[in-house]
Amino acid sequence: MIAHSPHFASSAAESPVGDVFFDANPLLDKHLTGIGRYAARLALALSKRRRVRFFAGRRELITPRGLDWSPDQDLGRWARRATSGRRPDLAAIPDDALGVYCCLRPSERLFRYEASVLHDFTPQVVPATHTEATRGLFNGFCAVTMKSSDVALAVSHSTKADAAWLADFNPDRVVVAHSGPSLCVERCLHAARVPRRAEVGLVVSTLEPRKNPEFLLDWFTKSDALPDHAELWWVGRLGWLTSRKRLRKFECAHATRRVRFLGVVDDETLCRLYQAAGWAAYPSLYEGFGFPVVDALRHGAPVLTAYHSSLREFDRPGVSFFDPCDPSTLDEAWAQLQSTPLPDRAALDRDFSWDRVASTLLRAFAEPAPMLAQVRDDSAA
Amino acid sequence: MDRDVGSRVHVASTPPARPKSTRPYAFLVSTTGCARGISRHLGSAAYSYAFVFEAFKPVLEQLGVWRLVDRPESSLAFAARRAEAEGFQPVHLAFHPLQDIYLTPAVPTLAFPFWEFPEIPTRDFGVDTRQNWLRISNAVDVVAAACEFTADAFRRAGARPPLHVVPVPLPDAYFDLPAWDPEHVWTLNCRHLTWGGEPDVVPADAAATASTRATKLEPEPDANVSPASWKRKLWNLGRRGFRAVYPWLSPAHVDRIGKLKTGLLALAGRGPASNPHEGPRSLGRRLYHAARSTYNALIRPWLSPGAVAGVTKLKVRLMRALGREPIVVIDPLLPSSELTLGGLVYTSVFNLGDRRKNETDLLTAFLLAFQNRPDVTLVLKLATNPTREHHEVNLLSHLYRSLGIRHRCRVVVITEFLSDERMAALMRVTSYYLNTSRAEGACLPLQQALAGGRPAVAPAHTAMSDFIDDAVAFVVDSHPEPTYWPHDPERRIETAWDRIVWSSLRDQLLASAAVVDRDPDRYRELAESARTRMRSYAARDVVARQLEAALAKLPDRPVGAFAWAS
Repeated sequence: MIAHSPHFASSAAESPVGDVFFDANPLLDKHLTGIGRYAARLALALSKRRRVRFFAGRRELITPRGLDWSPDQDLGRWARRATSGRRPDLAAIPDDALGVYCCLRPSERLFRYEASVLHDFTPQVVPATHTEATRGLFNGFCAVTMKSSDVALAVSHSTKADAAWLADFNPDRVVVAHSGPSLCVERCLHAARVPRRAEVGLVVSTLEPRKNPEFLLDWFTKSDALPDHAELWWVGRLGWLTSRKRLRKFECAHATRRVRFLGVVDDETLCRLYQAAGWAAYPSLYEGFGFPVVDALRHGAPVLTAYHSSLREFDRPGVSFFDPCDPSTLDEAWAQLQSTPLPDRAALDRDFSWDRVASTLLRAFAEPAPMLAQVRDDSAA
Repeated sequence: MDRDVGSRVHVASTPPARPKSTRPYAFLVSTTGCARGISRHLGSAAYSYAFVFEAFKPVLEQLGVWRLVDRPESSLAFAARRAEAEGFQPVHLAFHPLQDIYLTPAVPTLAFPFWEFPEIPTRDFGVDTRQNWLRISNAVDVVAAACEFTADAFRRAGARPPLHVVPVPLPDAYFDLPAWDPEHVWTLNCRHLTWGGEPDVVPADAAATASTRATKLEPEPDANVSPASWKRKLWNLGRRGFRAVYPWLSPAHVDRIGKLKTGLLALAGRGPASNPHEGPRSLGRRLYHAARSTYNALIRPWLSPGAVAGVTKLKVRLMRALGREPIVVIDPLLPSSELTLGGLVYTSVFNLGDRRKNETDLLTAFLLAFQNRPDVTLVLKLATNPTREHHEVNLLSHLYRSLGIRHRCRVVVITEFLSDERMAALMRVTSYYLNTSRAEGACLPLQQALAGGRPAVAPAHTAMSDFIDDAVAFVVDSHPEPTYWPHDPERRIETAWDRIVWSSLRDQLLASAAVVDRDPDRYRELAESARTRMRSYAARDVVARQLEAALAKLPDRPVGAFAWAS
């Protein structure tokens, strides 16, 4: 017997799609960051509306009995458990099934309805920050396999705009829904009160060239704008094309300021760190969405972030912008941050909601019926 | 009125020419990385965009202010937001081929691509979606083309955005250039080589050998060499035999024989990389070279680029552990020496790495037309840089030697970067600008020469059809020929360029020389027409008006918008 998400409340009026078959490949990463976290969150959100089943390639991943589908739990542990079951061949696919691909996808169609999630076009826009293998995979997706999807769900307006000139995909078939938070959706995972430390800045991202770590670390150790006893905590693993040795030198680059690389932490610890941080920073060179900005704002930490791509869409109280190639603008943003009002939690929850992402995806199949027919004709051709 | 956008904006020297009710423009310029040091990057991919940007600077300052944005994907939106806050109207001005452009709805984009083929790419190149010029251009707000030919190519492909022809502005210094004077001579010190010519009284072959010697890495012959041994004689015999049959062998056979030779030499401890002054190799070194040859010939071709990089990294680490740093071989540059130019001088400026430029026809036609004219000089100013110079000089020297044309006319190849002032001085001593290209997107040096009153010998195809005709040039006949886009990895024959008629080129060279020799009035007439033509075509104030007209077509989208359609 197939176990499935127990909470769904089917609504045929919202969308004609039935069971959701969710590509589990992004959930199989050792560290659930970025796209993996997005996939887990979307699966959990969809499970409230439809039966969610996982698949990888041509096999179904049977979810274990008693799998917890509540949003506020450690996502890494949840993903490992969700994908640890039996893997029989994918058979007896219902006629109204929706296949959801959160990362890459094959050209071959398996389901009546199919959707791809568009995270970003960074392999094309900032190719030097990716390995050749990654560039090849994503270029193939944008040029070829993405066309097999009926609908693409862009995680930001910026990503949709990039799709218009970087992908061979009809822009009318791209819908936009801002992602929700990556953790603490309904309640904080770390319930105990944590005193906020104004001198501590927090960065949550993989240490890789696109995240621009050396720019921020250099500014942190050299800027006159910061107090002498400031601390910078960096959460995230060491990624590609990045030298550990070069980053380590920043740990002792300033006599009194301290840089700490905390590596990968579990969700509860991350919640505690957000609550403790006086401010957060996101110096990325290009983004598809920007989970750390939403997460920091929802935990009450004002954010210094670069102003480009999807990050422009966070223009609201609590956010100060800078040019990620010009440290002097970071000084100015830091000064603005001291007087910025605190972020409005209710507005954040309204604008960045997983429920809205799930409903946007399902509704995309209700409205443009002629469009879908055309897509299937194209695919058959 | 001085205005400033951010910390790196250049201040307008004149008040904005726009009506007072509208805000002045803040041009946020993205272009090739070569713009940050053109002398080091001359001849690199898209290097000519740096010259275009340089030419546009005074025009941009007439209309507002400008700022160079090095990483538009990361910095453009912030720069636009700041310019907007400071009372400017930000515009992204992209001097890029379309595959290198960055587009964002945050700020309107005016793209300035150069293109010299009648069709633009309307498909992806493999999985590279940025090569589809039609899709990219459809997301641009306005496309400015340097000539009607380029604009037609976009129209023919069905590009949706407004198209406007905006020629590249020509500096005033060229319009002020004195008329050509046959008595004027110019002496400069630069890296160059010379073939033929009466003043040197050196036969062509000897000159070629002497002048290219500096570019070769061959060791000087040792005066104390003992008489050749039987092994050396056998080796020389084999080499002569190989050279005799070499022209009839396929490249694959030549490659195999080369590898065999390298392997034999390595085993004998006398590999080509060995230093003859180093003495005999130790057994360890011979084994190392044998292993390296085997790896290069048999293993490396089967490895992925990543694996090759991994092996190289491992080797460097191993060598470092043994106390040996990797050796970086720097190619020798041509020696710098004095060069005097005067008399009847034909000048051509081009990038040897660009297969459109057709240097073979240029050289053969010139050498055969002026074979017995020691007073005629051809100046080839190569768009090259110190990294490429050695290789390109070798290529050109090889081409020259392979022609085997005996001549008394002089060919001068200048490889050094010349400043604007020295380029203007070169144009001053020039009698005619010579262009034998198969396709041109603008040809700035030709336009500058015409502006300076130097008529041309050039075909009237592609961009040149806008300004080349009998009134300003000796027009070389040309006909369409199928070809591929230069950056298409599949090299599909999907477009065309113009093949010039060689006999027409030679005849026009002779005719142009005859005018200088016998009809100075006709030369003056051509020169004056050229100046007048270019003044009305690409003088700064003319271009400023064209650019303003193009800017007027930008959509009235708020700065900082999140999407084009929604």
